[in-house]
Amino acid sequence: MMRFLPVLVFACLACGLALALLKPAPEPEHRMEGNALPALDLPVLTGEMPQPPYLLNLFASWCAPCLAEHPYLAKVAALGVPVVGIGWKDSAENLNAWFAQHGNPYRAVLHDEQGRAGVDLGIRGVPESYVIGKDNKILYHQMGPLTPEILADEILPFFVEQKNE
Amino acid sequence: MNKVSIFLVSMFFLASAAWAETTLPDAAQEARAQSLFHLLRCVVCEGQALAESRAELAGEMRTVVREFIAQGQSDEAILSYFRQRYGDEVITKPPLRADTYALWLAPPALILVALAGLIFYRQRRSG
Repeated sequence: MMRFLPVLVFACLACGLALALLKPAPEPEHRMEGNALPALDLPVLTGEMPQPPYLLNLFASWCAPCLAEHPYLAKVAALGVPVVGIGWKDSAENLNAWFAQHGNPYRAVLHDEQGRAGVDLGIRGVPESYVIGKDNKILYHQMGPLTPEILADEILPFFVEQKNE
Repeated sequence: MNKVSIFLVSMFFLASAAWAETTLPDAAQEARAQSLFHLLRCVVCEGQALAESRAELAGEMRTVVREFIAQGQSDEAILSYFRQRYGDEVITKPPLRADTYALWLAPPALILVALAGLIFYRQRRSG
């Protein structure tokens, strides 16, 4: 019987590794919540920066999921939530063309052409969104596109609370 | 030189051309940057250090590392900047903590078990 032990151990190892390989990669656990918003030394492309609290949204005209979440940003903006955009790794020309085609829901749009501010904000890609509280603290960090569920359950409550205070 | 080695050599030079970034003028500072690139992980590619990644975000992170070194920041300060933003997973060498003991201690423990097994097996055979 002992002869089959190495084969058995190898089979267990191979099965375990195969299962681990087929499992989808876990979502990154680390988020920026609790950190202060880093100083964003960026040129303003359009609009005027509102006072916090606001919803900060990083996007680019070349990013398909950004287009998917775009209509929802207009909806929360219509509800009175100030939305600030950062155009990430994109040209001013392309960003303006994008607004002309799809509308501009942002109170202000900052321009991060090099993508440097994105690293300060700890992004992995676009779109990512942050709820910035009154004291410029990051209260919520969303990686990936916003959905109506995330907006209703996670993001809007921050603005309702802040208004009631 | 056969075709395969010509191919491999040209791939090597193509690969190094992809890293043609603005390096730091000071050679010692650039060497520090390069060693940090091996300590930091590319957060959008699985299992690659900054040093070997061609992802755009990795290029941006390398720029940040060089910028901080040029400003005179310490290696610890630079690593903690990235850890604060991307968590422990951004460091290629995970810290030794209660929840990472298994990670650090399992390989040497396995080697010891294998060695003990080997010695036991050989003694039984000879004895």
